[in-house]
This record gives sequence, structure tokens and C-alpha cells, in this order.
Amino acid sequence: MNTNAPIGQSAALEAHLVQEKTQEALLESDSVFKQLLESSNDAVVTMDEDGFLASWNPGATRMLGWTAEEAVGKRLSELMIPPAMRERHEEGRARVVAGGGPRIMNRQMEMSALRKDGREIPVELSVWPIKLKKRTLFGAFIRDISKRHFAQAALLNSEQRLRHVIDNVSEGILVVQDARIVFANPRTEHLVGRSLEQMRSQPFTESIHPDDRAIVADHYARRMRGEYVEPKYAFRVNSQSGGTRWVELSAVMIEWEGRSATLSFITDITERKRLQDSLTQSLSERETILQNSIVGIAFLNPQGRVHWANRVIMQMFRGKEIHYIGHSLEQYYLSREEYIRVGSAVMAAVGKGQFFETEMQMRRADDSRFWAYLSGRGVNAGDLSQGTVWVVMDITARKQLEENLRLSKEQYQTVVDNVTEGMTVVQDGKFIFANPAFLNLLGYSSEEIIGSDFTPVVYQSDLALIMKNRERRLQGEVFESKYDFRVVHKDGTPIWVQVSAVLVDWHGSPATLSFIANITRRKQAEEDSRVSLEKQRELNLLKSRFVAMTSHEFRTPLATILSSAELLKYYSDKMPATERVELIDSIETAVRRMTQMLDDVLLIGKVEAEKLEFNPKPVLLDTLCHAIRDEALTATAAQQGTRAELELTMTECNRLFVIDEKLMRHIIGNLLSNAIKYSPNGGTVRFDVSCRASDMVFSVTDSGIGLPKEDLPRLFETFYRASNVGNISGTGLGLAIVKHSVTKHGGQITVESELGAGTRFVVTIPRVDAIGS
Amino acid sequence: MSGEKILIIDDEASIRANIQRFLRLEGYVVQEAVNGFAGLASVAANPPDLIICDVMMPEMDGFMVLAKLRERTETATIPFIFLTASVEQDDQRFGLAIGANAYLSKPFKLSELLAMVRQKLAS
Repeated sequence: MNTNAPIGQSAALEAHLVQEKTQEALLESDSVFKQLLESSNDAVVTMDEDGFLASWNPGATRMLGWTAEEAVGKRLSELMIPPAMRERHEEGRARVVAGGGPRIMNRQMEMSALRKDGREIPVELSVWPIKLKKRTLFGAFIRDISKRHFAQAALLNSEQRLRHVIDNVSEGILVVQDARIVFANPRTEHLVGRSLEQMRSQPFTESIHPDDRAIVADHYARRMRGEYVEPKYAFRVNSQSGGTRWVELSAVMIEWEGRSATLSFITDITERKRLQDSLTQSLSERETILQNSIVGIAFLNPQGRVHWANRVIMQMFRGKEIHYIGHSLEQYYLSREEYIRVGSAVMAAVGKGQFFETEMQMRRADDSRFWAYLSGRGVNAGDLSQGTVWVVMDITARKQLEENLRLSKEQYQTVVDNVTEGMTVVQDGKFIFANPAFLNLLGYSSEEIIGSDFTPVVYQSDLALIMKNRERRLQGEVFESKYDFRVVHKDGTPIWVQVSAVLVDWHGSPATLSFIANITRRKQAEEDSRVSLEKQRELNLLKSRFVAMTSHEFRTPLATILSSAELLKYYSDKMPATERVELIDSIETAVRRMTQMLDDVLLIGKVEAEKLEFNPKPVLLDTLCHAIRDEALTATAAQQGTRAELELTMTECNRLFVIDEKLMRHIIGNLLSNAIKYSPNGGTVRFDVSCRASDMVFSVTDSGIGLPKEDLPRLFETFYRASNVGNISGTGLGLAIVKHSVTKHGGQITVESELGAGTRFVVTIPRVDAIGS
Repeated sequence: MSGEKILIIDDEASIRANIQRFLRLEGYVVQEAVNGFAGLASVAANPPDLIICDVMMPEMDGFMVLAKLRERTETATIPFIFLTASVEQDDQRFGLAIGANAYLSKPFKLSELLAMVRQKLAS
């Protein structure tokens, strides 16, 4: 037994095999039995102890006119014994059963038998017991002896006809006188394989089987003495050629040529004897097989009543009465309705030559219930008249297991259906199972997804990862089975999921069972916090750079102020007046620088708080541009090392435009001072202003250090400084202020730059002319 | 205590001018350089007895200037005072580590600078 298989399954399988085997043996035994019965010209029947017929062969039908259906289940005496003699027959039979009257057992009895058509015919009846383990059956041979009677009657009539009959009769006829055969007909000659002459020359015992000679001699002697001798008995004869045959002899005393002799009739019963022995053996074997089977076996008659049942059936139903012939099975069904329902289903199936099987609850004799497996078929396929043969098994344990399994399956089903995680099984690249959560996640119905390829559900760029992991898993590799990827919802939305997959056996083949959790929100949150963390870190970096830079930018003018003040304080008397003025100027410049820086810081604070004021007023543009250019030159002149020159060109700017002068100073001032500051090797800074039909374009072009491409996108962010500024001082605020100031004017700023070659900023502001200008 | 040559390297013109005025008044001969390159050129042309140098300058910073000077035997021992607007402790430590003799944070008092100059020239 395969110990890995579930118990219920293997037990059922085993039971099934036993059933098959039993049925096979049964059918084989049955077949032998049937052939024997059907090949016999004699009537061969079997009866139970109560005289009820259990079988009825075709020979019996031919002889007596009753069919097997009519006969089986009835008493032999009812059918065959003329009413006048019936009572006597039953008495005799009862005696035999009780063991008190062995006379007819294994003996022959001549009697008159009643046919179905009412005619009476002379028959010989011989009955023999078939002893089985638990009970005894009886076999009966019935032989039509009309012909013999006719021959015997004819004997009395005419010598010639007699001669003719004697020569042709199928029975051997012989006359023994003084222990020698004095006459034998051709049939006798044939039976003993000797000619009459040969027989005459030998004692008659010569033809008899050595073992039987004594019996025959005894019979002969007793008959000669006039004692009672059974009218018939059987013995073996030896033919000349050495063959042995069973014959039955009946003899009468006659007068032969003036002296007493015996006239004997002998019948060849070899075949009958063989039949009888085989039948007995066959029935006995069958009984043994059936009784010892571990499954319940029963034969039912065409009316569905018990004809025979084995011990297992009795144990199963806990009732002795169940094996009583003719017993109804109704009480073993849970209800009369069920009994009738099953009965008609059986009739329908067996009538069509089919096998009937069912599993149902049945009731035992003690009223307890059990689950039974029933399988039945006609003894003759398609012929209900021969009754049915049944195999019955108690499958309560299996049913209990099935029930447990069903309950546990239901529990699992509940879990699977209600779990919030998606669960799916993929085999050979196709979905073969998906729970509601999984279907819900993807927006598909079960019909749409089951049987379909799994790859379209996976986000395209994640497919390679999935395929790789799947391959590794199918090859039995054990690895971290949890990983994240994206699936695609029916509407096309990618969804981040975390999958945890295991290899399982699904209906005998490997498959992947995956648990899928929707982690889109988690992923989004992770991404959001990653981005904001990144930004935060960058901002912190920028701020600390800003702090360092402002500290430097403040300390430098402070150093100038402090040293100028000290010089004025302690050395003014040693200095000419011009130098003292220079010192005071340097203090003023430093203070202005610091103020400017403070202004920038405050301004950017306003910008960030979105409190940057915008006060557009009519301004004469060319005057403003000149002023800013001059301021830029003055401011940068203070810083040594700047050698750049500034060139201003203006087109159509001599008029009033509505702009915010303060913001415009920020824009142009910052662009110009940057251009100068980042041109450490000198060169010309060009400042071009042109007023066109709809806008004003300010462009500042230098030939300085330029800007790295990667810095351009972030150039206008607060505190951001290009990576190539080196030690050129600056706060990273200027361009941010420029950008905001341009935006306030509804304009745009663009930058183009080549590293090491120079930079051009272009500011475009919509033109608003002052009324009346 | 007179006639000793002091080189000032700083990109900030007003600071350079004030230190020069002050040291001249105190009797020193003062040279000026606007950045690291100019400073090194000045050292090569006319080796000073002491150098006062800003740290943060465009083109070549003070650390580089000091490193270059310390590479060569003839300039390796010139007293070197860092002048810086940075308040970073790391910068100060780094400067001293690579061979600066003193470190002065901006803004500074002229008397402090003078005391430092005198001390370094004397030792």
C-alpha cells in the first residue's frame, strides 16, 4: 500500500480491487456452473433446506415446462409433484433434512412428475446433498424415463416389436442366469465393450470394475435369494479397451428358458455422474470464495429479495435474518421511498445490461446507520429474470474522512475567498487558480483570467525578473521568494505588488502558488519620502553652504570696517587727509555691501513666503538701465582682480514703461554683477536692451567661466550655485531673486552657456507702455 | 625691528590696503599680491621674511600657496600667517597641519595681527 496516499482513497481502492477479484472468481465459477447445467439433457436443480428452488436449468424447463423465473424461489414439490402425492413428498423431504430418511439420498426414485401443461410423465428423481460450511443445499436430477417405460411396455406386447425395441433402445438390456450373461442387447455390448459371445464365455463380473465387483455380486446374490434389493444402483464397468464408465442398473427377476434369471437394464450415467461431481465442487468453491470475501456479497431474486448472502453482509447489517431466502431488504433502507427509488433505478440499469452502483446511508438491524457502497448487476447481463448479484461495502470510515475533508476544504475556501491578499496558482505559464482578492486587484473576472497566459498581467519592464525567478523556482532553487514588481490592472494602471511564491504540486504537476499584496501605497509613500528626504538633504547642504558663505561674506567687510576704524583711531595723526577719507570710504563700501547682502537674504525670505511685493510704475527705461550699469561698475570696482569691461546698447528704450523699478534693479544688477564676477580673466560684458512691439528683451552676455550643463536646470533655485564657482564669493541667492522678479513681471528668463566660453542670460518681459508716453 | 619684508596675499582690496598701511606705519616693508599665483610670483622674485595670506581666494587658495611654499627648501621656513573669514575649525586645523605658523580670523584687531607678526619674526 502506498503510505503517501490519503487513507480514504487507498481503502476505497483496495476494496475496489477485492471487489473486482471476487467478482471475477465468482463469474468464472458461475460460468462453469452454468455450462454444466445448460449442457445437461436432464433436469438439474438445486434447493435449499426448505425445498425452495435456487436454480433451474434449461433441461428442467424442457422437461417440465416451467421457466427458471417461474421456478426459482418456489418449492420443487409445488411445481412437480402431483397434488395427491405432495404431502408425502414433503414429509419425506423433511425427514431427509432431519437426517432420518437417507433412503432417497443418492438413490433413484421413480415417480410421476407433473408438467406445467398438466401432463404427468414418468421420471426418475435423484437427490444429493451439497454440504457447505454453514448449511446444506440439495441438488436434484430429474430424468424423463417415458421412453424406457414405453420400451418396457412394448416388451410385454410383441416379440418382434420387442426385438426391435431391445435392439434399438438406448439402455442396455441383459439377462444373467447362473452368474453368466445369457443375453445382452447391442447397447449393452457397446457399454461394456464386449460382444455377446465374449460376455457369455466369461463370468458377468468380468466386465465390472474390480472395486465394484463385490457390491454387484452381493446385490445379485441377495436378489437370487429373494431378499430386498434396491431397485437401482450404480457401479462402474470396464470396457475391453480399458475405459471405465459409470452405469446404473435396475433389475427384475424373470423366467428365462424355464429357469429363473435376472433381467437388468443398465444406463450409462458417466456423464451425469461427472456433472454431479463438478456441480458439487463448483458450488462448494463458489460458496467458499463468497463466504470468505471481505466484502459483502448477495444474490437477490428478480423480486429483489434475498436469495443468498454471505457472512459479511450479516455482520454489516447485524442481522441473521438477512440471509434468509426471500427476505425483504426494505427495513435496511432509511425510508420506504428510498427503497422504492433505488429499486427502480436498479431495474432500469440492470434491464439495460448496465452496472448499478451507489453510495447511500443504510440502516442496520439494530437501527444504527452506516454508509454503504452498493454495486450490482444482473446475473445474466440485461436479464433481470436471473436475479442480481451485489457487492456491498461499509464505507462509513471513508465517508467520515470525506466529510472531514469537505469541512476542512470549506474552511480553507472561506479563508481563501476572504483573505485580503491575492492568491493565484500558475502552471505551465497559465493561471489555473485565482482568489477573489487577486481578481479584484487586477479587475478581471475569473472567466477572463483562468486559463490565460500570465505574462500580459506583468508590467512589461518587470517581466524579465519574474521569468528569471520563475525559472529558478521551477528548477527547485530555494531563494528569497519575496520580491516587488508591478502588475497591470485591466484598465492599464500599473500596480506595485509584493509577491511571495512557492512551488507546489497541483494535480500532480509542479505549479507556482503566489501570494500577492498590493503595495502601491507603500511604494508611493516610500518614493515620496525618499524624494522629500533627498530634497531635505540637499536643502540642508545648500543652507549650510549658504551659512558658510554668508559668514565669509559678512566677515570680509567686517574685517575692512574694523581695521579702517582702528587705523583712524590710532594712526590718524600719522596719515594724510586723503588716506583718512579713503579709510572712511572703505567703511562705507563695506557697510553697503553688507546691507546689500542683508537685503538679498530678506528678499529671498519674502520670495519664499510669497510676500514679494510688485509695484509697477512708469519708469524711463534708458535712464534706469544706465543707472544700474553704473552701480554695477561701482560695486565691482571695489573688488580687485576684476578686469571686465561693460558695454551697454539700447534700442527704442527712451520712453516710460510700467515696471517695478526695485525688482528691475534686482534683475539687471544681479545679472551684470554675476557676469563681471564670473569673468575673472576679464573680457567684455555686453548688456543689450531692446524694446520690441510686444516685449522688452534684456540680454547679458559674458565671456567668463561658463556654466556646466548639469547645473542649468537648477540654476534658479535658492542657494544653488554652479559646481565650478570655486572660491568666487556668492550667496546663491541672486539668480533666485532674478527669476522671481522676472516672474512677477510675467516674463521669462533663459540661459545659454558654454563651459569656459561664456554665458548669456536673456530676460523677456511683456511690454506695458505708460499712458500718455 | 625695521625693514623686515612682509607679503600680504588677499583678493579683498580694502583689507590688503589697510594691512599694508598699518604695517608700514609700524616700520615694515610691505608687498601685496591679489591672489595665490601673484603671491607665489612675488615670493620667488623677492622672498619676504613673513607672509600673511587669505585662505579663500579665487584661482588658487591659501592652502595651495602654503603647500607650494613648503615644498621648496628656500621658502619652506618663511613664517606664514593665515587670515580667514571662515570660522570652520576644520579649516584652521588643516591650515596648521600643513605648516601654517598662525591663524587669524576675520574680523581681527590690528594689535593682534601685530603681536602675531612680531612673535613669528622673532622666533
